[in-house]
Amino acid sequence: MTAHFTSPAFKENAHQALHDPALQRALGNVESGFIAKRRKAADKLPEFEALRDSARDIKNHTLAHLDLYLEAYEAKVTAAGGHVHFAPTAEDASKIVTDICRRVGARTVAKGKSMISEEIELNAHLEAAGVKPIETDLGEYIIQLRGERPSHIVAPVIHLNRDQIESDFRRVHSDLPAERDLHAPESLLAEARGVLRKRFLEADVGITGANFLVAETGTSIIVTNEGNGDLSQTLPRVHIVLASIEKLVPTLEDASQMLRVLARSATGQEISVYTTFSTGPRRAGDVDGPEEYHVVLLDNGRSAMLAGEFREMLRCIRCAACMNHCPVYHAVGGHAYGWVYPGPMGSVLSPSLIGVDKAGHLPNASTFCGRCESVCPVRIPLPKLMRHWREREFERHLSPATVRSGLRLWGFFARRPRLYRLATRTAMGALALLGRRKGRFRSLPLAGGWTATRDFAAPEGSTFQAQWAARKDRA
Amino acid sequence: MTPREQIFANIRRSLGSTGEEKPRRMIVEERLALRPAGVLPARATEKSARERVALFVEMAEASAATVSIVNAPEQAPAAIAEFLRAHNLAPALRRGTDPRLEALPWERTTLEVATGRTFGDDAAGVSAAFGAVAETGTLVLVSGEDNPTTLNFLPDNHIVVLDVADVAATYEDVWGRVRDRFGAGVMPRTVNWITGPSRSADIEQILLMGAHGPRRLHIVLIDPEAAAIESVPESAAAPAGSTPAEPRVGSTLAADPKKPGDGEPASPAKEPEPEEDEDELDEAIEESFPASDPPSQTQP
Amino acid sequence: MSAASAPARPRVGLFATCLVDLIRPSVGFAAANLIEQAGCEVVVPPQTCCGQPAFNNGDRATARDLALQAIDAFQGVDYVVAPSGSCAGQLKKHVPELFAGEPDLSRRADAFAAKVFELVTFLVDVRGMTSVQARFDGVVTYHDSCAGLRELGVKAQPRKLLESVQGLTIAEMKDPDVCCGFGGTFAVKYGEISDAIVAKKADNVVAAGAGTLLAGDLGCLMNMAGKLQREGRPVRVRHVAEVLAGMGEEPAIGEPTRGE
Repeated sequence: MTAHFTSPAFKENAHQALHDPALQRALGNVESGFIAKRRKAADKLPEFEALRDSARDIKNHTLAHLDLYLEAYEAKVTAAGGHVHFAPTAEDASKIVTDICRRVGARTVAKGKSMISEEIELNAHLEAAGVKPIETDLGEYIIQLRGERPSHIVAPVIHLNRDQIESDFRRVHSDLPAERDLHAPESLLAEARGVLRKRFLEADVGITGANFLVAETGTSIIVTNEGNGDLSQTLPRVHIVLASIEKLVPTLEDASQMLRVLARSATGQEISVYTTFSTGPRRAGDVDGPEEYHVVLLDNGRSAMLAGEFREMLRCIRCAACMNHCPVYHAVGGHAYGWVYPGPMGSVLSPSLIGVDKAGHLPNASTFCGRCESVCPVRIPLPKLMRHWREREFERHLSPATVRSGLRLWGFFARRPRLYRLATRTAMGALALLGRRKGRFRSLPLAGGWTATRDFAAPEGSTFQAQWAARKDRA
Repeated sequence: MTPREQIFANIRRSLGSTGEEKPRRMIVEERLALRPAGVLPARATEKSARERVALFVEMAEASAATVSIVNAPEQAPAAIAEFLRAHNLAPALRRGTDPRLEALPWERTTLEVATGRTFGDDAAGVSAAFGAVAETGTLVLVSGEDNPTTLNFLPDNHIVVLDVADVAATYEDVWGRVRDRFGAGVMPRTVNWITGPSRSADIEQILLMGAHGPRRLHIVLIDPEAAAIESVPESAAAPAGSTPAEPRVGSTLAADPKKPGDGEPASPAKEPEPEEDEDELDEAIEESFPASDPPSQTQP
Repeated sequence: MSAASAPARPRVGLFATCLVDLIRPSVGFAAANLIEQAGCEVVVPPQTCCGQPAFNNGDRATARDLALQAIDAFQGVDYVVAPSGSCAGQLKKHVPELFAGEPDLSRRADAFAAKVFELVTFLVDVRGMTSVQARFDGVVTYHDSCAGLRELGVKAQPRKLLESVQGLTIAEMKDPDVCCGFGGTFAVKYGEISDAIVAKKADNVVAAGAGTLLAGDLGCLMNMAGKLQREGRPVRVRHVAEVLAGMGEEPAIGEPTRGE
């Protein structure tokens, strides 16, 4: 495995993010761009909460029978003239894709947006094989120009401001007139559209992800607003679908249930502009469409997740509502999380995929405010799953020594109510005495993380239990 | 073990299953055969046929598509010609060979009509819809020689002819029709659900119309029962119909919704500062259709 | 005795919470006062911590020990009431999770959890209280603490009782239901992020134009008070129970004790 990540440096990443004014300015768009729209879309559909239940149940049912639905799906893809490839690891998936590209002599590949592609670091593998990948989603295109990773699974460049994008375009599109006006975001879009239109027509292979796979018909589904995914898969000779095994749903009816919650949760749209159902290659009589249709099914640790308490995470449909509503994500952005999947869903998924020893900070970097769970379209109990990771870390002695010893000390007293009352009465009395002039402390040993920026209220004096007992005695 | 066997073995180990258990297989076969429908939105299912059509038009327009309504198929070419004229576009289009399109009296217009797939040189593509879904104003198109998929995405203007009888309440209703046409468990190569024209909000979450796909989506709805439709007025910018295509855009062009002074520092007066969804969409449409029209032109 | 067949004057075990016990006992007395006003008898069994810090840091063993300790200590009461959505949420929602799959313990945990309520929801939803006899001259803004809001549905109840306080006006802040950044040990472990979150909250509090900030959880209150005070913002911070019990004249959180 060659996964590149900086998750172990989460704290340092977060520190940098908090001191990056451009990033902080851009992050304001997360709150203003998503939350009210989702609320409005949900409120407009009286059945929305029932659909969330339905979506959860469909995914649970599919996961419990995943092997059988995969068999059915594979048979249907094959019957439609497509090819299904199984990739146990990220390396396997990249190799399958690059092998197909080599076999058909591909020079350039047009890519629709795919988080699986990020997960397996496909672009690096393609480039190593002499194939030029071209990201065609506007956000992913910008990311590729900058040599970055998306900082959000739906809005890849949510961390950028338009002036940054403008300077990237001026740097890369050096054949265009230098004096052109790129100030308005419309002109940035128009320029990207012009540049990419040529690339679509040149590409030999198109690669897309899949939002869902349908067992009933062997269909892959992509959901986009730009139409880039459709151009990527319609114009080149070969279409490769990259999908992980948990994208499966049983039927077109089930897919329709999922689609009713996806766009509303993601962007607050009733439905995305383009929802495209693809089944196999060009048919007899077709005048367009790909001649070859391949599906690469990635496992990469997911089959193991089915076994335990993290199975629920496999319901995730990548809508990003969790990160859109997360106060930690709002504060530090997606890159701080240090790998492909940021925010609450990433805090649960990343430890499964790259190891809790590396992604251990992520499930801890949550206030457990529960807002993510309250908006999750498939009702994944994200805080509970993060807590399960904390339990694993605790069991494996991976949590920080200060936390462990602090908890041990606290637990020692908390388990012994009499000793606790005695000790706390004395300690609080002393602290109250120290803090009585101001009523609060500007610094406290062991609580520097707090008192660096916040005062800490001093105790009133005697504990409640002591005062209550004294009052009862008097009565 | 092949990679395939490896994945199946891992899944089955995790699920504690051999994959051979009869009851499990029965459950899966039954679900694939019976296809339970789940939760359907009453906003679409509890409507009469007429209300359903009205909902479709309302939702399609909310997605920034434009709609013109004609009483008979013969009127469709004129409505399309009018749409192109209203946008200062050349009277030329490319369409598939769908029999419903072949049967239209194109010769009654001055339109230059080509057929077949496009390679991106056509400003307008015309398709016949397989169906439509009232609940979200969504068009359903099916690939094939009749309606090449490239026509849905490459031209700047996509015009879709839709028969009112094909307007269904829900997605599920359309799947029923797909099965009737192609067989249970069988799908055409591509089914496209299309709801409005292409857009992107990737830059600062500002909604911009016309990303990679068409900048305009125009629906010509053939509805024999639609209220008496006047003949197209000479000077009007739009074909007749419940919602003339252009006035919606035209009115946002005429008005000046820009509020100077509340943009952020980096962007003076020229930026949409969405307060609310519809405003945002209107402004995005305006931004995407600058005053003079040939769509390939950039900002004035 | 189960909650359903509670007597005319139910016996309520006050779970003060460790923060109230140690830092701000006056909240405990305010809570006891309100529970008595609601026609109940108040007892305070020996107690320490609900176990949430251990539970949320992955130490299930300690969390279980503390849960069992609480279950034993509160055996003889009709209700367990805590002036904290977070601790009540731990006792009501998470304690049963700790014993899932162990029939005997699970039954005890479920029976215990059924008796547990957050203070204000207990007053309003269980005891039917619609108003309080209290006066507070000033404008307040109310922060919805996360666990209370999302685990227990505390939202309308405190506002309803606050509206009955004479002289009090509520000015809602922007995003009252967004986390203040406390998150228990999170506030120390990830102090910098916690601070960034509470800084936004402090801005919203100040922008609301209220002189007093109220909430139902002392942890969140200490976090917000600490930020407001460090920045020298003129907003006083109190637990909602203090105002509802007519104790709004006492020194606010982080203020020096009077007369010293």
